[in-house]
Amino acid sequence: MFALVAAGLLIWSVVRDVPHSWSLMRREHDDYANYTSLERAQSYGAALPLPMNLFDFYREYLRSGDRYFIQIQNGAFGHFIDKETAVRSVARLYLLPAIEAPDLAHANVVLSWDMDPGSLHLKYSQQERLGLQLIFVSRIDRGG
Amino acid sequence: MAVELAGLAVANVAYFVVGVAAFVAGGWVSPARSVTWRRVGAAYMFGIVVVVVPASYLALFGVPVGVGAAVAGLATIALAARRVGLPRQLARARLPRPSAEQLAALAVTGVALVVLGYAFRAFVVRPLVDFDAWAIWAPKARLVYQDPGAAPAAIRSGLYGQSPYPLALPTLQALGFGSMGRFDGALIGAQFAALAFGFVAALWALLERRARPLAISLCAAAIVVAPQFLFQLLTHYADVPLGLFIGLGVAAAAAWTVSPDDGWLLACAVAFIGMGALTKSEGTLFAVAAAIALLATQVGPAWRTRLRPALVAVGAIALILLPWQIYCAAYHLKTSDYNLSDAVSLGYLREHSDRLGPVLRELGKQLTVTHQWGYLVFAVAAGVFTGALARRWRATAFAVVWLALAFAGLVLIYWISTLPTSSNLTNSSFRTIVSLLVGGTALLPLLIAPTDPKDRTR
Repeated sequence: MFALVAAGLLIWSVVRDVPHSWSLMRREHDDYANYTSLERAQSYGAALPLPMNLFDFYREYLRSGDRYFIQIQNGAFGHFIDKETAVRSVARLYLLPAIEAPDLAHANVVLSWDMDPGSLHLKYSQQERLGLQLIFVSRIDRGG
Repeated sequence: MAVELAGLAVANVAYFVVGVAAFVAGGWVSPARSVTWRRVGAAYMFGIVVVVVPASYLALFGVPVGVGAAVAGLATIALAARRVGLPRQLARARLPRPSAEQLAALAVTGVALVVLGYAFRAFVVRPLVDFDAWAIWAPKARLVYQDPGAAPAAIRSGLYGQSPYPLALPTLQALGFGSMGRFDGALIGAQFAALAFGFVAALWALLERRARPLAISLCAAAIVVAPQFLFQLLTHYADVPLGLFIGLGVAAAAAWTVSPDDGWLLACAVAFIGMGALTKSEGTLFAVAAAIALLATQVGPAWRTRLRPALVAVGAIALILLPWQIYCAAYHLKTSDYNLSDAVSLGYLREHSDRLGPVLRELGKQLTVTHQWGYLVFAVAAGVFTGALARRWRATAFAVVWLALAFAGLVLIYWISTLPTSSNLTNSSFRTIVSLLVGGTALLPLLIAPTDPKDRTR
């Protein structure tokens, strides 16, 4: 008796779930099928939303093996995440294989987000700026 | 896209080949005995375990996952070749005329595969948009793939996802990136979809001679067509992969408990439960629950001869987990979400007893959301009653002990959590119950429609 109940529940689950899952998968496909590969690669950051062109700028001047430090002033951002966490989290995935250093002392590159890298009082061997914004990639010169 | 998917397909065929080789090396599949060939249904998922577990451990020492996987895979194939040599003649397989029930079971499985096939389109285009996927799992996987030398220290730093989370899933993803030739957070969804196909095939292979085919097909289909199953798999979170491996592991362990003469089942139980425990931290909880259930259900007549292989299996699961536990202890990697010692502190539990009600209500709610999971939890309950009434003692006892311990363990973890119930519980409860539902449903065929009458008399 209970075996029939269990089998009936399984059959009913399959019968009810197939159309539901079918339309769910169709929606998920249709939502993203027309994304370009760039949109797909940037989707998680763009959805937050963060301006992903800034990360592209950082990425342009980072090399594999770099250890970067993000210079950023924290602030409100969203209801579940603050600005610093959002920027650092997106950077960790997007900027690989460059790796976030645990602190400034272990970094060889400073990525400035609306901040002046000069305020860190470090010597830089190379520095790139995005237009007139306070967005910098500064390679630290540690003197050898 | 086609080139990348072809590369990923090659890797997945390799997992299958390695799984078959492992079965041959273990003496569980023989080219000369066609009756053993049906076991190859579980070879794909088994091959993943054989390749990913050692590769994930070697990755902790900076060894590229491709190297670790290749060594493990080739060693397994060499062992198989040594055992059987080059088979000159394959046994002739005879396909019996299928019964009406078998045809119905094939039709149900066909429906499930069609849904998975349709879902595959979404799996290869949906990008990383869910937080844990892009903030925890994908960075680890990309790190392990792109800079294996730097990965161990970066992961231990805690910046790249939760450091106490084991590396099995990132390793599987990293192997996928390697086979595709590049990191692609959307296309790797094909690997997640492949796990669902592999689960269906493996559940069939594990239970095919131990339960009625229609019951197996209904259970497999009810799991993989559930909207929440597909959606969570689509997000690239670890919870569904965890549930798939744990589900196969408990199904294999319960099947062995019913028919302890088949060592292959026990080997599958060890591999899948071990893999589950290395997929996510909660996996250890489900693995411990399964180990206790396996040992507890060997009581009764002939317990001495039953207990020895069960103890060996539990020891083997512990061996799979131990290196990770030692690694975490050596580097002081532990979650800040809870302190495990609080679980045995009556004072702490009493002080935080106000969490118990919300935890039970929320987990109960998530288990019974019928528009997300169908009626799986009710079917499992009916299955347990069926097993008890039909005196299928061992299978029923296994299901009851595993489900009770796994559920109680989840409740306890939420109880001792330092995170507020409001966010912690609602953000995760819909995911942590996946293994309970998949595992419980995977056990159902042995409860409602077993073909082995021995469970009643032993």
